[in-house]
This record gives sequence, C-alpha cells and structure tokens, in this order.
Amino acid sequence: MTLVLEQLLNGLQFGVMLFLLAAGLTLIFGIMGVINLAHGSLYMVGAYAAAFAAAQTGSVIIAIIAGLAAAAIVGMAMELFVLRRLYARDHLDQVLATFALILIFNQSVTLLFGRQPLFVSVPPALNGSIELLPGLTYPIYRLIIIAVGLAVALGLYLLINRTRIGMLVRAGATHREMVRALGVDIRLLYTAVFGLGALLAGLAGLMAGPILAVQVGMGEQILIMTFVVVVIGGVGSIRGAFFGALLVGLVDTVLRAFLPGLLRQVMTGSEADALGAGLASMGIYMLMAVVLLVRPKGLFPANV
Amino acid sequence: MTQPLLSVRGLRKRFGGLVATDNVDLDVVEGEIHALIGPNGAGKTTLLTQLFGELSHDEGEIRLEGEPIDALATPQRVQRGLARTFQINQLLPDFSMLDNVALAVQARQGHSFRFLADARRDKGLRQRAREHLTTAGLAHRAEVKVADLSHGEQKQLEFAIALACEPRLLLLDEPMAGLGHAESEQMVAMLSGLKGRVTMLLVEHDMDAVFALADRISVLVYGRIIATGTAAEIRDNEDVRTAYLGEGDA
Amino acid sequence: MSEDAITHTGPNTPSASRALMLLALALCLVALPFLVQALGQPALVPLATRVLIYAIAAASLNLALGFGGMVSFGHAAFFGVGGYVVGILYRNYVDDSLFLGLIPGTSQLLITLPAAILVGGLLALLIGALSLRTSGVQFIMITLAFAQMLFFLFVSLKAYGGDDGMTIRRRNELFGLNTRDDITFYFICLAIAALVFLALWRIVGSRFGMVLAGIHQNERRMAAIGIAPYRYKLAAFVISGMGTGLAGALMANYLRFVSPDMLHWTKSGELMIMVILGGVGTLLGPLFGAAALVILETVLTSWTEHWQLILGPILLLVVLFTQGGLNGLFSRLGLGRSER
Repeated sequence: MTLVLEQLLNGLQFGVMLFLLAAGLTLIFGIMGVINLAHGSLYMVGAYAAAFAAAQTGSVIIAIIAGLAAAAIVGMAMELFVLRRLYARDHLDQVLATFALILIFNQSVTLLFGRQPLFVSVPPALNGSIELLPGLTYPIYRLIIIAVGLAVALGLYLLINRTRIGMLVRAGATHREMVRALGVDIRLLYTAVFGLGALLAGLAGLMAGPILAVQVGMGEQILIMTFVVVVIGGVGSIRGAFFGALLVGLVDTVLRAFLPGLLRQVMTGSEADALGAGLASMGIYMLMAVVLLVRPKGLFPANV
Repeated sequence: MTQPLLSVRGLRKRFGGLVATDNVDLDVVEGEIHALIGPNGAGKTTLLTQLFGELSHDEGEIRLEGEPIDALATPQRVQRGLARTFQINQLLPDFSMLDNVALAVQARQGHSFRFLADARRDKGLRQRAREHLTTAGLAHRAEVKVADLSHGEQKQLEFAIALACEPRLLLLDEPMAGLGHAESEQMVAMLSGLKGRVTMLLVEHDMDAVFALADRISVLVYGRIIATGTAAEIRDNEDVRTAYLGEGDA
Repeated sequence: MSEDAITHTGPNTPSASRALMLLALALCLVALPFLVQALGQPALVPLATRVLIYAIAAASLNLALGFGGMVSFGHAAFFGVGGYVVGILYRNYVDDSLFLGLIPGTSQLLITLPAAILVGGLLALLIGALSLRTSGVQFIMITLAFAQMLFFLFVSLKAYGGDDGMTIRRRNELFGLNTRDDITFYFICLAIAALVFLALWRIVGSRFGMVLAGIHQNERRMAAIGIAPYRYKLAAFVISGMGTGLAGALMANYLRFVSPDMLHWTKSGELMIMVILGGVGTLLGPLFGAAALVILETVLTSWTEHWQLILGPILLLVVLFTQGGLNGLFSRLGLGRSER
C-alpha cells in the first residue's frame, strides 16, 4: 500500500514537472499558433545553466537565478529571431524550423559541456526524507517540487483569470484578431508570453537536475511527453495542461512501476522487464490516441 | 399540388442564447426561383448552411423530394441533388477555372479512386467542364488560375461549379454581392436563362435582381419567415414593409 | 485572342523542356556509378544508393504531406517497420522457423519487398484511419504518438534485438544477382526508385490526385461538390505508407542491419526535412531534398563531429527564407522575384 502511495507521489511529482513545460507550450500554441519543438531545449538550457552555476559558486540561490534567467533570455531571443517569423507560416515550416533549433541547441551544449551527463546533488538543506504516514517516507526535495509545481499552477490560474494580462492571453487564445483590433501591442504580448513559457521550462529543468541526469537530449525526451500532455488536455488550455500533465505523469509512473512486475508473473524475468518497460513507455501514447479518438480536440478544448 | 422539391418544417437552430433559425417552414417547388430575402443578420446564410448540411440544426426536418436528408452529410446531400454557391468564394486557388469545374464534373460521375489515367487529358471531363464554363460565360478564361481571377469572375466560377454538380436544387448565396453593375446584369441574365431548368433558392440583397428573377419570395427576419408570396404580394405586405423594405435602401 | 495563344503554347513548352531535363537526369543517374569509379571515388556509389532509398521514402511522404496536406510526423513508423519486415523474415529464414508460427522466412527480395509494402500499407491504414479523425496540430501529434508506440515496442522486443537491433548477414537475393555488389544494388534501387516516381507521377495527375490536391486546397469546396474527403485522404496516407515501407525494406538491405533507430522520431523529422528541402508538393523535389540532406550530412560529418551545428542553421535559413525549398529557390532564381 505504501508502495502504491509512493508511486502515486512520484507520478504527481512527474506530473507537475510536465505541467511546467506544458503550460508554456500550450499558451504559445494557443495564442500564437506555433508548434515549438524547441521548447524542450529551454528546459535543457535551464538545467545546464543551473548545474553550471551551482558547480561554480556552490550557491543554490545563484543556481536558481541562473537557470531561470538563462531559459527566459534564450527563450525570448528565440521568439525574437526565429519564431516571430513563423507565426503566419503553416505547421510544417514551424516543425522544421524548430527542429533545426533543436539541432543547434543540442550541439551547442555538447560543444560547451561535452557529452558526459552532469550530476547535480540535492541542496543539503533539502536533503533527506520525512515520514508522511507511518511507513511512508518520502524525499523532501520531491515534495518541494510538487509544492512548487502546484504553487505555479495556482499562480498561473490567478494570472490568467484575474489580471488584465490574463484577459488578453485568454482573448488571444480564442480571438486573435480581436486582441489585435483592440490596439494591444501584440508583439510585446507574444514576447512576454514566450518569456513566461521559457521561464517555466527553465524552472522545470533546474528542478529536474538533481533527480535526473543533466544531459543533451533530455529536452526531447520530455518534450514529446509534453506534447502528449498538451494534446490530451486540449491545445491552448492551461486547465487542460494541468489535468493532462497529472494524468500523464501518474499513468506513466504507475505503468513503469508495476507493469514489469505483473508481466513477470507470466514470463521470465528479463523478458518481462524489457517488455514491461516498452509497454509502459507506450502507455501514454495509447492514452493520447484514445483521448483524441473520443475527443479530437482534447479533454478541455480552449476554443469553445 | 405536387410535392415540393424541398420542404422544410419546424427548423430551429440556436447559438447559445441567440436563436438563428426560429421554427422555419419553407417549400421550394420544382422549377421555380424562390428568393429568400431579409435584413442583415436575419439568418439567411445560416439557413442555407443548414439546408446544405454544413451546420446541423437543433430541431425540425428537411426533406428533398419527400425524403428526409437531415442525417446526411454535405457530400451525400450533393449526391442527392443539392448544390450551393458561397457568398465568400470557396474555390481551389492553385487550379485553373477548368480544373475547378472538371473536378465537380468528375465528382458527379462517381467515385474518384482512379489512380493512373491523366485526369487533365480526359476528354469527357474537360469537354463537359468547358460546356459549363460556356454557360457561365467564362470559356475564354478557362486555363487561368483561380488566384489570378477578378472577384466577379470568381463569383461566376462559383456558379459554374455549382452547375457542374447538375443539381436538382441550387442554393445561391448572394451571387451578386460585390459585383459591378454590368456583371450583376450578366448574372441576372444567366440565372433567368436557367429558369425552369434548375430550381433555385436565391439569397440576395439586390432587390432589383430579386424582383426580376423570383417566382416567389420568402422574407426572413430574426430567423423567422414572416411572409411568403409572389413579388407583388410581398411588395404589398404590411409586415414586410415595416420590418424590412421600409428601412431598406435598395 | 492572345490568352488563347498563351494557353495553347503554355502546357506544351514546359513539358517538352521538362522531358528533356528528365532524360538528362535519368542519364546522369545511370552513368553515375561508372563515372565515380572512373574518378576513383567508388565510395560514392553507396552514398548515391542511400540518396535513392531516402528519395523513395521522402517522395512517399510527400504524397501525404505535400499533395494531401497531411503533416505526418510519424512516417518513421512505416520506414522502420519496412526494415523490420526484412530483418524478421531473414531471421526466420536463417532459423528455418515460422514467424508467429505461420509465416516462413525468406531472403528473396521479390517477396520481402512486397511484404514490406503490404505491412507498411496495413499499418498506414490503421494509423491513418484513426489519426485522420483529427487535423492540424492534433494530427501531427497523434501520428508522432503512433510512431513512438512502435519505437518503444521494438525497443522492448528482445527477440528481435531490442535496443541493439538485428543484423542481416546477407542482402536479400534477386534473380541470382550479386546484391552484395554496390553497383548492382545501386541499380536495383535505381530501378525501384524509377518505378516509384513513375507511379507517383501518374497518381498525382489522376482523378484521385486531382481530388487529393483539391482537398488540400479547400476541403469545404470538395464537400460542396459531393466529395467526402476522409476516404481519399486515407487512401493517400496508405499509399504513402506503402512507399515508405518499401524504402525501409531497401534500407535494411542496404545497411544489412535494422534497429529501432529507423523508427526514431528524428527519422520522421529527417524525412520531412528532405521533403521541404526539395520543395513541398513537387514531384522530383524529394529526390533533390534527399540528395541535399544526405550529401550535406556526409560532407559535414567528415569536417566535424558537431556537424549538426552547421546543418541546423542551414535548415533554419532554408525554412525561414526560401519558400518552396530548393525547387522554389531554383525557379525563383530562374524567373526572378514573382509573388510577394
């Protein structure tokens, strides 16, 4: 039972990480109509910048600032120089141009930091575990990730629903022309939204550092899952991104944790592990296929 | 009387709180030109769109030759004999006029799962398409790409494509809109030339054209049909005058 | 009238010069192996073979993507599965066993290729039937998702090498030819590529092709003339999957190796790059696009291991500043600036 609870917490933690990425991606798509494959690169940039700053200074605060700033700056530069030219293009051009960006980012990082993954340790203050329930201890660091993710979700909710910027963002997602007609500087809004999305991706990246290896390609791995989240949740919908992320995080974690064990009851150990891992990896894609077949616009379509 | 070609009963469509089509009854008789007029925002195009199956209605029934067609998607309705022109041109911009019409001819001939023979060298298709272009007065421009046509020519092409579908009932959505005076007259001449051969439901703002062409007129106001009758009857109808003609400038 | 004069000469003159160019291209391709041998660069023959194989895949993708407007981000699925058909049949052939207890293995190209086409087509039927219920970004993502599923499936199938893939000791046999020989294999691929391009050319100009192009331009218009788009799009997607499966089978033969790498999502991306480099929705574009990417990759890798750092910006510039890829670039250079 505690094992199940622990895995559910792991799923939740993975889910909020996905949410941090998906929130930006879904906003960028919903408002500007751009598919940005390079969103995962911002996550990688955040992770590398934080890891590098931590190694150089040893300061957690500086590492956090470095990660956030690097991701936001790179993100806004990306918007300014590349994505801005893609708004009016079709999806194919967007996919290819941002695919090209992935190549550039990955190789640049390889050039700067090499192919060896960087390992980042958990900040000492956050090391250790606490006992949540009798028999269920859980790492503090992961709990903090969950807390940060939920706080961001709440903050975004307030931002979108209670502020003028949020109103523009919402209007922008459904009535692009109208926002333009209102005389809002749409370019500034776009750059700001992109910066925010990049910031959140960077936040996810820097928090992921101590849990996962910081390496080239980490962006694409999670990017594809993030797309699954966005599409399941409904493109352009923050609420959809939130529930989609939790759903995908939980399903993926639970399948990975328990499927090989279940298979081992019917086949030999190593084969069960391999097949279980494979099937578990396929799980979220199947989930997405099923969701899209039932609701082609996702669970919480924004444009209704 | 014989059964009407198109018969609409109790048609209703809501968008949220807005009632776009409110309990519409409408009959179009074989051979007539039936005009549908009404002020802007009366829901004329919305009604046409529902008849054509691009928008589903909430309540009511649409019958074509006595058969209900409510459950049919647009392509199936076209196969049953409906065709429409669009107020905002819906054309294939990269194709020539002839290609546009030839595709409609091709669709009329049955399925298009033929993979090898060159469609542009298919004499039957091209010949038939040229005939329709001639009817629409466009034959001399057949090879011109749609993107290079004037607005008026595109309107005429809309019409030629609809003709190529060989419809029992042709739904015309403001065929004169945006046309110059001469072009409008040409279009009126074309429509009256087809009168009796093709049944038409004509949505149009140009009142001169409507009164010149229509056998019967229905007036739609706020999604309701408030009167149906001959041109003279409509002209003399009090309700229509107050609701519509009085304020019209046409 | 003057317009009539234009329209009458119009279609003829370009097709005559096009026929001439095609002939020249064909001669070049036939002469290529002998030419490069004479030049003392025999290693270019396998390179050209790779170009041809990718050209088949990219041209097939182009039918769906360029002509049908279906932006599939999952064509690696068909490519990889085509490869695995060859690999698995060869494995069963060597072991003298039955695939799934039913199908005997084989190493005959005349069987493996049709098998790959068939499997590619069936897979495309399944994926397409489901995916085409969506459109836009959802379509891109759901095709990606299906390809990812297959990727992970083959990664987890230890029986077929899992992550490491499986080697195919010998290339498939054909009429007792020495398929091991680079030049022989090049000509096999050239003949198949020629057939594929010929078939695509016919399809694009056929009634079916006209409908497909019409759907790409305006689905609403097509519905209004009585054409339900779904079936036609699905058929195009299936044909596209068949061609890509064929290319995958050839690639497995070429490499004598098949691995989940062929199913990786970056492979789908590469195929799309070839299509866009060559010019979306043009017949021969994918051939030039495949040549451009393969040659670029080869040249750049010989310079630096960070070749992607050069490829990335090139690709970016092509997408941002040339509309219509190399083909568009050529025609614009030739005709001067026309539209926009």
